[in-house]
Order: sequence, then C-alpha cells, then structure tokens
Amino acid sequence: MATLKIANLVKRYGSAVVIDDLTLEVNDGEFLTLLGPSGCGKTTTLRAIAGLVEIDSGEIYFGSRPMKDVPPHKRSTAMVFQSYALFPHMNVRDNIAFGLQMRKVPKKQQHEQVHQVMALVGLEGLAERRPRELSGGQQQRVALARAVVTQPDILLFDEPLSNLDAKLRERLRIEIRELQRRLKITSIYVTHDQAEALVMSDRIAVMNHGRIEQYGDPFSIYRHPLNSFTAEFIGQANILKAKVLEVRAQESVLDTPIGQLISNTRINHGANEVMLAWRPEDMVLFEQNLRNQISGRVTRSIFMGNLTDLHVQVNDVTLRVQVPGISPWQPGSDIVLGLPEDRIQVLQ
Amino acid sequence: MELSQGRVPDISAEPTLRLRKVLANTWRDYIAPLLLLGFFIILVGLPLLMAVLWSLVNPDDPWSYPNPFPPSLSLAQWEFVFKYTDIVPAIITSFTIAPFATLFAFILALPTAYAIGRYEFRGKELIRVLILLPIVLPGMVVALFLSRAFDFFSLSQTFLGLVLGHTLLGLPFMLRLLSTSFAAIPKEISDAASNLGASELTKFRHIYIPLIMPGIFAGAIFTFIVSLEEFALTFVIGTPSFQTIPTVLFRFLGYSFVRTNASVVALLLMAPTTLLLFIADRYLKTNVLAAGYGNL
Amino acid sequence: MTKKNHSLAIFLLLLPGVGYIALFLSAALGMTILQSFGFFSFSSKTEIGLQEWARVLNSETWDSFLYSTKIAFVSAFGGLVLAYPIALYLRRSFIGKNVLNMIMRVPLFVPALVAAFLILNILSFHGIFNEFFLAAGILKEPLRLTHDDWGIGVIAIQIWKNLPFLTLILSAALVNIPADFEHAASNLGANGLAVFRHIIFPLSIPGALTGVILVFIGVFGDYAINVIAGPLYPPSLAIRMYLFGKGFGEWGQAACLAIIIILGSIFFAWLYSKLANLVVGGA
Repeated sequence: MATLKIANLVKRYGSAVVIDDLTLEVNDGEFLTLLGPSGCGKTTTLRAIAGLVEIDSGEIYFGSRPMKDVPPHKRSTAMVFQSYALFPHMNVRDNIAFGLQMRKVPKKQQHEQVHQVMALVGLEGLAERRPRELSGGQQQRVALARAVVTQPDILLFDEPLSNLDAKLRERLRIEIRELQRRLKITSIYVTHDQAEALVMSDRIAVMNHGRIEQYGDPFSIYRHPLNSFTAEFIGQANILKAKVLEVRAQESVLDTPIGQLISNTRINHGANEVMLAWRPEDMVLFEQNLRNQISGRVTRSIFMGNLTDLHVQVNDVTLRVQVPGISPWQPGSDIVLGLPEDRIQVLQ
Repeated sequence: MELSQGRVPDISAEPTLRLRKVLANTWRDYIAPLLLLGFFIILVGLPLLMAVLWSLVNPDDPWSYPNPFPPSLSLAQWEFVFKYTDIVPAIITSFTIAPFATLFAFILALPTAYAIGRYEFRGKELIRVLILLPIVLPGMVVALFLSRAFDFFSLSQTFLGLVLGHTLLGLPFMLRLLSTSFAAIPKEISDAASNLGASELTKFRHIYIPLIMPGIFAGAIFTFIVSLEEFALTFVIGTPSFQTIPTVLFRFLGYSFVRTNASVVALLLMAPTTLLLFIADRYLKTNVLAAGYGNL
Repeated sequence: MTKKNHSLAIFLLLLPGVGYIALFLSAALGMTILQSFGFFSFSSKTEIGLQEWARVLNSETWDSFLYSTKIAFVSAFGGLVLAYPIALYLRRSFIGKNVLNMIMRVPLFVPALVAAFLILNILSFHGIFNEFFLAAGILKEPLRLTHDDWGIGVIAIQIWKNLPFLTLILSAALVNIPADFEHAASNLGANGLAVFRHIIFPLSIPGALTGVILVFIGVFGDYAINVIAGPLYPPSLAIRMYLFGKGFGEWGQAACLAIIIILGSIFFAWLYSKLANLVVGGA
C-alpha cells in the first residue's frame, strides 16, 4: 500500500481556480474524507489523484513516485464513481473482472479473485446478472468489488452513496468502512454529507473554494472548528462576534450581543475582536452552576423525534438550541440557558 | 483475509514517460487535426476542383497529361452545353416539377403531420415506419414497378405522372419535418389556448401554423431538393418525353461520356441544391440535416 | 368529441399523407408481387405460377446477387471503419474543428449522380489519381479503377458519398456513451486501445447500426452508380432487374429480381442486427 502526498496542487478551468494551492498528506491505510459543498474542488482533487484530470501545477506522489506524467491506466488507483459507471453490456462477473483482465491476470485466477471479492461484499449468486437488473445497493457493491479486486494502492470514492435512500446509505457507510479496515487500503472519500464524513473517516479535510479550511480527525473537526466555515458546515453552530474584555490566566471574558460570556480559552494573540462558535446541543437547561447564563425567549419549538430544536431570541440574536426528547418550552415562554465555558470555540 | 496477487507493474523506472506524454499531446493537438483537415480538403475539394476545371477547358486547347492544369480556361463548354444540348428544356422541366411536387406534398402532409405530431393512436409506430418506406426501399425497384402501375393508368410519359411520383418521394421528408415541428409545440400552449376559448381550428390557424413556420420552410426546401435531384423514377416514367437535369447528366455519363459536358451539367445540378441547403441552414437555427436525417 | 368521432377524425387526418404513400407503394409492390407470379405480363401468354422464379434463379442472378452483396458490404462497413477514427477524434475540440465539420459535410449536399461523376473523374484511367501516381513513379501503368470487375469505382463513390452520414450517425452514438465509462475503464487499467475495444466500440455499435443498414440497403439496390462506374459483368441486381424489365420485356423475371432485392435487404438488416447483439453481448 502507499502513502499519498499532494503538494501545492493548482487546477484552473478557464479563469476559475478550482483547486487553489492544495497540500495534503495521507498515511498508509488511512481513510481520508474530502468534505465540502458542491464546487469546492473535492471531486476535481479526487480525479487529479486518479489521473483523469490534468493539473496545472503542483505534484502528486504515491509513496515517493511523482505521478504527474503517469497516465490514469498506469496508476495503481481504483475509483468508485457516483454513477457507479458499471459497464451495461457486461454482467456482474465481467464488470468486476475487468481490472484483472486489463492486468492480464490468467482466466482461472480471475475467476477465483472475482469469486472471493463477491463473497466479501455480499454479492453471491449475482454473477450472471446485468447491471440494469440490480438494485441501487447491489450496483454499489459491484462498483466497490470492481475497484477492490485489483488491490490498488489507493481507493478513491466519488460520493458513491448519494444516489441511495437514507437507510441504505447508513448501512453501506459502515460496510464500506469495515471493508476498508479489513483490506487496509489507503482510501480517499469525497462527500458533501457531513454525517457520512464523521462516521467513516480517520481524518477529514474540509474544503471550500479549492482550499482546505481545516484538517483533522472527526472529533477535532466537530468539537474544535477553527473557522466559521467549518463550524457552520459541520453540524449546526451559533456564531457570534465578540469583543475581548479581559484576558485572565486560564480564561477570557468576552462581550457579545447576548451578554457577557466566559470562555476557558486564553486569548493571547492580542486580538480585540474575535468570532465565537458553539453547538446547539452544548447549551443546557437547569444548570445554575454554570457561569454563562443566557436568558431569552423561545420563538420556535420544532420536535424532531429524538430531540427538539429550539429557536431562542436573545436581544437581536436568534440562538439555536437542541435539547433531547420533548421540550416543555413553548414559543413565547422565557427560558434560561447555560453554556459551559469549555464549549465556546474561538475561531480564527 | 488475503486476496491473491495481480498487481500493476512498477513503473517508477520509466524515464521516457514525460517524453511520451509530450509526443502524444503534440500528435493529438497539432499533427492529427492538420492531417485530418488536409485529408478532407483533398477528399472533398479535389473532386470538386476537377469538375470545375474540366467545365472550363478551352476546346481549342485540350487538357491532357502531363499538364496539371488546363492550359487555358474558357466558358466555351458552358456555352456549348446550353446551346447545343437539351439542357435548357431539362432545367425548365426540373424547376417546374419541383414546385408542384412540393406544393402537393405540403397539402397532403399538413393534416397527417398534425395528427402524428399531436395525437396518440393505435398503430402510430407502424405508420411512422410506413412513411419512411418510399425512401428506404431501393429507388429503382420502386421506380420500375410504379411505372408499371402508371402504364396501367396511362400516367407514364406525362407531366402529371412525374409530379405524382416526385410527390411520393418527397412526402416522407415533408411528413417527418412537419410532424416533428408539430410535436415540438408544448402542450401547455395548446392547453392555454383552449382554456382561453379557442377551437381546434382557430388554434390551428393562429397558433400552430405560425409556430411551425421553420418546419414548413425546411420541409419545402427538402422536398424541392429531393425533386430536383430525383433520378430513377424520372428516368423510367419520364424519358424520353421529359428530361430533367439528372436524366441529362445520366445520359452524359453513360454512352456519350464527354467529360466536359458532364462537368457542366454536374455543376448545374449541384448549384441550386447547395444554395438552397445553405439558405435553409442559415435561416433555420435548428440543424436542417439533423431534422432530415434524424429520428431514424 | 366522442371517442368514435375522435378516431374518425384522426383517421381522416391521416388519410392524405399516409393514404397517398400506401396507395402508390401498394400499387408498386402489388405489381411486383403479382408479376413475379406471372400476372400482368402484358406479353404473349399469361402463365400463373412459379415459372418466372424458375427462370430467374440461375447462376447469373447468383453472380449479380453476390456482387451487389459484396459492394454493399464493403461500402457500408468500409465506410464505418473510416468513420470511426474521425468520429472519435471529433469528440474533442481542436483548432479548425468548425472548418473541418463544414468541409466534411459537403458530400451530404452532393446528389448521387454528381458524386458518381466527381469520383469517376478522379479515378478514371486518365484521371488525376492515376496521373499523380504515375508521375510520382509509384505506379508503372494506370490502374483500372472504374468499370472494373471488382467494383472499386462504385465502392469508392459510395464511401465518398456516405462517409459524412456515417460519421454523423456514429458521432451521435458516441455522444450517448457517458464519459464515466471511459474513465472507469481507464482507471481500471485500460489504455486507449483497450477502452475502444471493450467499452466504446460495443456501446456505439447499436447506435451506428441503423446508419450502416441504410447505407447497405442503398448500395445493395443501386442502379445509377453501377451503370456509371460499375463492371460490365456481373451487373448489379437493380441493373439486371431493369434490363429484364424495360430491356427484354421480361417483367415476370424483373419482378422476381425486385423481390430478391427487397427480401435481401430485409435479410441483411436482420442479420446485422443479430451480429450487433452478439458484439454487445460479448466484449
């Protein structure tokens, strides 16, 4: 297997810069997700790794080998496409065997490997079927099998689950991840679905406008967003501008539109104004011990099954709050929320 | 769990990779298009050039090997063909049959195309195939045996017979183009008109016809061209009483092959059709050829 | 409007266009079929039966059949082979593409007879083709390319005339192949040739089929171009048919030949469809 290194990658389409000086390193056997909204350059990056897209400058290394001049069919990558791209004129077995056929693997061995991998992904008995006779989930597995059977150095996934319904997506996410863990193939996964990214990845690269906004493991990305884009893109966030009033040894006091707040981050870069962020589920009810107490009025209460989404008006700001289960607080009622000091993120 | 081997060979030791890439790109971006362009210019341009040159050969200074070009040019051949052959009556005949055939085809096609374009009915697919038959069936077969039927009804060697025949061969195109145009009118427009109180006839006059004007134009041009170029049927039921430009050309290519005469007539046949198609292509934003050849 | 009135209205609307075609075609085809069985011979005696067929099914008819099949096959498939690289290349954009498109389409506008003349002119014994290669020293004596026994002249004319058509049809078929298929194949290790062989070719054949069949039928039943540039013997089926009909007045046999042409066309259309299915199924 291999490590992947991308250095200062630039890709332009006409005058638009799609990938803007991107640098990334992926460790051997790691599952990295490129996460971002449409148009952020994640798919282009993926295709550049596969060699399907020519890059303008920068370099891509598989291990120590520079890849810029290597054509796609000579790279040891295998991609699972969003549309699956299963060859309609071949049955399942021939589809999966295609990569082996290209590598001139002897027929008998092809059969064995195809058989093995079909068992691995759960496609037994479907060898003779044509792609159009399969369900969405089955097609997905064929695409997966076809990519995996060639034992590539790097597995690439281009939003493979976006055409499936929610339940199937949830199940397949886990299956893909399990498979990848077993085979230990370095994998790059592209998606705009942040739940998917959080569930599946060893590390996430959050992308926007061709650049990486933040790079880290799911926990850090969620709990400690470094900028407002990441804070807002992953999950929900309350983001406020704040003025630094006082910096103490272990904490800072901030003046915000919703009142004074204390954060356990020592802001020491001399900034006067900062951006703060915290998650809706970070705010709690009935915790009088917390120093940050926020009073407001409930304007909306949306019951979502396992939690309730509350919109709370505090001065001019509407805060989003999530509480588990049913909330007795109806629109129009006054509410007091507590905000733990360690939940306030100071953004750059 | 282990999968058996079958890896991509290590290509890190390939120093020529960059060179091959540059060569491939140069071929793809520069050499291939030039070669392709040159190939087609010769393939298409040379025959046309030869025809033009041969039509301009000076009879007093014959063109023969090893001259790459005729030694001198003159319009004598054109004069000759116009003065001493029956090309002029042939031109008149061609350009008389064509408008009649186009008109007939239009009148016959309009209601049928309307039905095909805007309604669903049983056997529609079959009818679509039937409509194409006159042009899919081999020309001489249709011509020869239609002529037998015409003989029976004393339609051979008559102007009416020729017009009827040309109409038959132009109908498929007219029908195709008109029905496509009718079908392209969004149902909402028709529904809106009905909703506002228009009867079917009113809709037809005030909405459909204006909207399908491009289709009518295209159909007319195509049918006109088909008639001008038509050979087999005209040859069988028209000659020797009637000559059209194609039949005259055929004669010049058969037993009395005089290269210079044939060149003139060939260019004469090509000119109007090329002009018409050019006009059609310009005037209509849609691709006339696609409409004519499409939906196969 | 009631259902019945509606159907009636549609019928009446369809009548002019469809009725006209149906009328004349059935007259022509009816004549053909009847005459092949001896009716309407307008000559000496009228025998009804299969004797016309017995007379027509001889070795000369077979020679004509083989010849027509051969030139049609070579024209249609030779044209396809030429059209493939052109259509494939036309998928990208390059300098001069618009000019190329325009030039390439010219033969579509050229009437069949004119095309026959143009190419005849070039390939004739003293035409520019022979003169050029003689002068260049590549040929020692001119090649007989027209009115030759093999039908090279006819084939050249037909390919020249039909190349743009085949290229257009093929382009349309190629456009329908999603780019992802090629990317997937390439990603799995297929080089350019392998992508063509395993993906592009099988998936474009069904779309190209109609065009190929149309060209085949056109050449198979051709009369005029074979008269102009074809061999003296064997004549094309259509020439033979014309000869027997208008020439010898043997309308019965002519009708049989016409039916042979029509049935042959249907047979080959069916055959090529089946072959195409094989190709697509395998690969």
